[in-house]
Amino acid sequence: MTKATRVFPYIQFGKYHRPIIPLFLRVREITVEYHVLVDSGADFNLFHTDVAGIFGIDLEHADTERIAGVGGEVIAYPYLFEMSIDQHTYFRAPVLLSHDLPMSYGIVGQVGFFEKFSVEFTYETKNIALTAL
Amino acid sequence: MKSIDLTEVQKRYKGLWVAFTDTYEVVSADKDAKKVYDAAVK
Repeated sequence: MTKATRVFPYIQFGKYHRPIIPLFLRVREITVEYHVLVDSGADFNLFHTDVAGIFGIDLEHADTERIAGVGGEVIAYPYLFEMSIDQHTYFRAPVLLSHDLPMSYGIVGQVGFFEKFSVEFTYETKNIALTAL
Repeated sequence: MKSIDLTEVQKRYKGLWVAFTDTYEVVSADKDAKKVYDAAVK
């Protein structure tokens, strides 16, 4: 059986082209399309805590983890999201939510994303192809 | 496949959350992500 591959264009900011894709996040009846940088160098998925507010997720009493960032250690809140790249097939994946993410788009990394897809970056044509494993 | 150029959006809405249509037209922007979401789904 052939597996479907979805191809996404890169997003350009000035002279830089980045593999940023729309990702559908679902919590109960709410679905939000959130853009994420597909980062093979990231160990895990990292989203801004403001995303939790859209879904009404209460982080005040949530567990916390300390993660190492560029500027030192930051506090992050682990949460399991349902996510999809096509709004049809959803999978559950762990995400760390942090106030300290400097940009609005999220990051998807090895655990919870690259383990779900074969990922092919093509800078020459500025696209990224994802095939579900 | 050509990149989607968001250079001007980034300049104009720096520091804000933005909601897009499928063709990347901005439909709402604010510092509060929930407000942006609520305005976009209206």
